[in-house]
Amino acid sequence: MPSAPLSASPSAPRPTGVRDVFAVFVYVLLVCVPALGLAGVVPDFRLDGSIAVHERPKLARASWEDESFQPLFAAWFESRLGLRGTFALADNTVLYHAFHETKLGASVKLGGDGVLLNDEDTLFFNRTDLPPAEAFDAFAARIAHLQARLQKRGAALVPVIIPAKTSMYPDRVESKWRKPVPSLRPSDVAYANLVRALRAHGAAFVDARALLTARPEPRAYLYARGARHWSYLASCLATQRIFETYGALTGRVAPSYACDYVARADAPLLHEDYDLLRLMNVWGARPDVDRDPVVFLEPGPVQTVAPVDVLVVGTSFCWNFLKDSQRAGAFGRTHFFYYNRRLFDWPSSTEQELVVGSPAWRNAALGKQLYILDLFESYPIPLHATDFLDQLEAALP
Amino acid sequence: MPFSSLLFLHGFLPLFLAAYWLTPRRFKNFTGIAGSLLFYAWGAPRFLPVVALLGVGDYYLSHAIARRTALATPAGAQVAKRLLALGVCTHLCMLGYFKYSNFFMGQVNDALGHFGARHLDWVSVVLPIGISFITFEEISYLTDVYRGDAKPARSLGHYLLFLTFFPHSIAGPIFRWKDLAAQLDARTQSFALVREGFARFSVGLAKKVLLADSIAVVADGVFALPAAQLTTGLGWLGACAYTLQIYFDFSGYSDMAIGLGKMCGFTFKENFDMPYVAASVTEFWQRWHISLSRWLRDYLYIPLGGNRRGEHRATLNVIIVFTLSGLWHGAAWSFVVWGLYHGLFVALERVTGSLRDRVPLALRHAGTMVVVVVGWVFFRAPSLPSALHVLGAMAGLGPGAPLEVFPAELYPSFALVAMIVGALVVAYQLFTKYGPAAPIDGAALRGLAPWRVALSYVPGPVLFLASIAHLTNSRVAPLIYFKF
Repeated sequence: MPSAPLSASPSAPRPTGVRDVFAVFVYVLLVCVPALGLAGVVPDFRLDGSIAVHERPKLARASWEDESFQPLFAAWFESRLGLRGTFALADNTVLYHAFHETKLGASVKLGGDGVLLNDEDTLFFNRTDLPPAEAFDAFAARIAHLQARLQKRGAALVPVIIPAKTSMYPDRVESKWRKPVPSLRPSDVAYANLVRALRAHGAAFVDARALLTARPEPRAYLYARGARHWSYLASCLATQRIFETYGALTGRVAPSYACDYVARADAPLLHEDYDLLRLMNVWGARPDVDRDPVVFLEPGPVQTVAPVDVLVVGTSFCWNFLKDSQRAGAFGRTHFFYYNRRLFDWPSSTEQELVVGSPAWRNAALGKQLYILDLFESYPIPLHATDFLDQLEAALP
Repeated sequence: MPFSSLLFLHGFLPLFLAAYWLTPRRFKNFTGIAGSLLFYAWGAPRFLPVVALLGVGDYYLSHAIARRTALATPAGAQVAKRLLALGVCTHLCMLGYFKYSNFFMGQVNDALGHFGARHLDWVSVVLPIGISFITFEEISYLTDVYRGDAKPARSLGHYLLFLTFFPHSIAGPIFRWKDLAAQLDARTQSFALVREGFARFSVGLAKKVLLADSIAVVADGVFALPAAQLTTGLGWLGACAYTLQIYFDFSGYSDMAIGLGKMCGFTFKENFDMPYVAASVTEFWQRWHISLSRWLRDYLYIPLGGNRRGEHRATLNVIIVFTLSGLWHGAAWSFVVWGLYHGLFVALERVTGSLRDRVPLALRHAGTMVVVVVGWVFFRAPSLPSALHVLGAMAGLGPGAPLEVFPAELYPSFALVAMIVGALVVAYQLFTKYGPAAPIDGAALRGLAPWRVALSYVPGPVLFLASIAHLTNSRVAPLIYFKF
């Protein structure tokens, strides 16, 4: 078998110069400085977002031999390295500015015109395996049934179809985040099926997708370019409709819910309006999402009607309902079943695990006047909704 | 613990180097052994006693072989031969058990299933890291001692360091005892050498982290596609991506190994020599994984008779060697086919001989690259049928159903740019082959203006910094959170 001749002998040692010593010093710094982060002595940039915390694993012969110790130790070691934030920011910045991309697998996807998207929304936008029309019918029937039962008890169950960001900005989903789907996009078909099914079963609901896409305001007022969730203005407009529906279902006079706003170009962005941007952890991207005025809701009129006791069941989109609830004085005793997994008391924001049937659950779930059920579009027939419908149905006397 | 892991770069490496550099010269080998055993124990703790025992066995066996050979009698030679056979068989059995038993049992059970018989129970064997390389090094050591090409190790410590030295224990290069023995006794250590080592390591790290891992996104994506979604373009894109990925990955790893060696005062032989500038498959194998090619030549091709038994036998030997080389790379039929495929082309080149010289050089280069790229499909595909699907697509037979992955995830811009950079590197190598050579080494730096010499020191730290930034970021995954 042929083979090329190879240089075999060690090369002759080259005399050391000052440059060599300095270069070795630089290399040693590069190798050692991050490691000094383990001692907490290396200043660093803080990364935004929730980052997994790794505990230092206990060393034992068995865990070493079965190699379960090694990956845990490596994860702990990496999580404690110095300059981690700096390196991550620098790398993300190169990706963003040089390639108009985020890190592979990152939850933030770049859309057109500075619009940031969440991976859940881009996935939903391209999904073809959505539930069939019959499934939406069955779901709507359950909603209508419980709505009717509650109505008899003087309470209102109001489902709210909350639009995905891709429904507000379909034209900003770039081709690289599109898969070939039928011309009638399945995600739009799923939405249409839900609306049709709710109407067919006579269920009252708030279609915030239709409401918001028809609004005259710029889209960024309702869904900021850099935001994961809808804006306070968008949730306020939905809340207006929720109280209107509440009034129609219960026959009571609903509290008024004003959504007057001012748009200020000189104000800094609200945290909620650029959380996706922060999650990207990039330097110099702020101007891309900073071009829109910031919308502030005006204080509402003094409430002449007693506030309504409310239970909100849903996703993180519901935080805007809660955070805005004090402004109008329309919400009375309020609880939030976050994904129907965690129970929050509002406005104290005390939190506990949600245990169905427990005294805390019964206190929060029963006896409310208004039940707001979040039907966020990206989760068609969401589990939190179906579970809650079953649980409340079973608990009602 | 790969060299491109943060734990290695910021944990093991600084601790080891500090200990090694601070150790007095005469004890450096012990520090090297201790560090290497720790390194190996981290990745394959259960296999460490086996490696140590085999190393001790080899050491005593090699001395026994040398003593018998030194007798220069037929009886002594006979015993030496038997001892060598014992050593080689032991190592091949170990390799067979750890690397091929799962494959073998899989074939047996497939055959039994074909005939409706019950499958044999088999507990899957874990493949210890680096066993293929270690086995070949052990065999070459015993063989060289038997042939009188090398003296047995002066001490057990020397041999254990040769065998387990961590820069090469995972992915080569395949060391030869006779190349390293002198350096185990005495080697120089200087800032200049350490600086060269770090610079070489940085180049390897950047090849691996910035190029190979980025390009891997494309290759992995294409090879994971269902057969129905493959198109001609995607097939070629995936094959070309893998062609670049495996080169920058493997040669990067070799660069890191050579760099680490320099940091410890060792000079290892080169393992790659611009393989994609080859104008024939034969030349490709003279430039790709050189330490393996040499090993196969010296310990398989020549013992099989080499080209001493006529042209037909030599051609057959080439095919046998390459087929076994394929099997050495992995226990799967796709690797066997890959080896056979290359063997057939090398054999064909032997047969055609000088006729090939009549083909224009550019066509020879292009033809070689096509052969190599197509060959990598067998190497990369998870199975033989999968490889055939990709090759079918490359030949225009792909159904081309709509993609079910995002284009941004299948071929993101940064990966495509990495491919372009990789291709430019290969183009530059082609230029250095036929144009004026322009290596950046110590000799080339002499006579340059001081500022140009200083400038040549900059890329190393920059590449290192960029690599660790990219690596660190790949290990950070912030999530949005309701209290964020």
